[in-house]
Amino acid sequence: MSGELPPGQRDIPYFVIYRILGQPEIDIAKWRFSITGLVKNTISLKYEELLKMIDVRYTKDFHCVTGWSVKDVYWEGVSMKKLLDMANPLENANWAYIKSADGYTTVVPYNDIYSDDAILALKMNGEPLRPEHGYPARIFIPHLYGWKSAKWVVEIELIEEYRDGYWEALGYHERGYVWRDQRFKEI
Amino acid sequence: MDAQRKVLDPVEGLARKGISKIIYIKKDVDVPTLSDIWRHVKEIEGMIKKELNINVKETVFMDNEDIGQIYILYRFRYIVGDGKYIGCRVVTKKGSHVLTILTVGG
Repeated sequence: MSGELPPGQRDIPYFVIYRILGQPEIDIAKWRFSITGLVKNTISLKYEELLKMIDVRYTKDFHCVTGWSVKDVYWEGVSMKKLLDMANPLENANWAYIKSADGYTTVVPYNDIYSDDAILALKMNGEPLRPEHGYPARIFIPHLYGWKSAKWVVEIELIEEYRDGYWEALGYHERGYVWRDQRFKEI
Repeated sequence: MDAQRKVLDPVEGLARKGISKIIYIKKDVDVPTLSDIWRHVKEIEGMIKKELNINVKETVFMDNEDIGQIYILYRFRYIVGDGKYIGCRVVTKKGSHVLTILTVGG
C-alpha cells in the first residue's frame, strides 16, 4: 500500500498524460521487448509470452517530476529482476538505457532497474495498459520519477558508461530518486 | 563569476525535433526574480551572437512552472528568423541558478 508522499509532491486523482513525441502505433504481432548490450544472452519476448510471465501484482504510487503524484495504482507486470536474470548481465553493466517505440529514451542506474519493485508493467488497475499509458508495456520503478518509467518500451540496452536520454539531455537528473528530490542535474 | 559551458550532441528524440546541438550553461548566481532571469537570458543572447555567430531578432518569455516545491523552470525563445528559434530553459532552485539549457536547431 502507498504511504506518505515524497518531498515536493501533491496528490491528484488521475494521471496527466504526456506524449512528447506523439502516440506511437504498435503492431502487437511485430512488437518485441528486448534486453541487449552488456548481456550474455540477448532476449526478445513477445507480448503473449510476457503476459504468461506476470509475477508481480502490487499497489504503488506514481510520482511525476513536475510535482503531481497518483496514489494507490494497482500494477501487474514482470519482475525486472527475472527478465534481467534471463539476459544474464555482464559485470560492467552499470546503466540501463531504455528505448521506446516513439524514439523516447531514458536512463537508470543498473541497481535501480534491478531492484525488487522494478517491473515491466503490462496492466494497470486491472486492465491492459491503455495506449496513452504505454501499451503494450512500460517500465515502472516506483522510487524514481515517472519520466524514468518509459512508456511503449521496446528495448533495454545495458551499458557501462552513463548516456543521456531525452529528458536527461534537457537537464533532468541522472537518477531521479523521489525521496531525495533529484529532479535536475547539479553540475 | 564566468559561466561554465558544455556542448552536447542531441539524443534521438531531440534530433527528431530538429535539435542539432544542446548547450549547458552554469553560472553561480542568484536569480530570485523574473527580472534577474531576464538579465541572465540577455547575457546569453550576447553569447549566442558572439560564439555561435547567430543574430537573435527577439527574445521571448514563453512560460514558467514549478517543478516540485523548490525548483522553477523558465522557458524562453531566442527568435532567429524564418520561423526558427533557439530554445532556452532556465532552472532555478530556491532562487539560485541551477542550469540553463539551450536547444539549437540544425
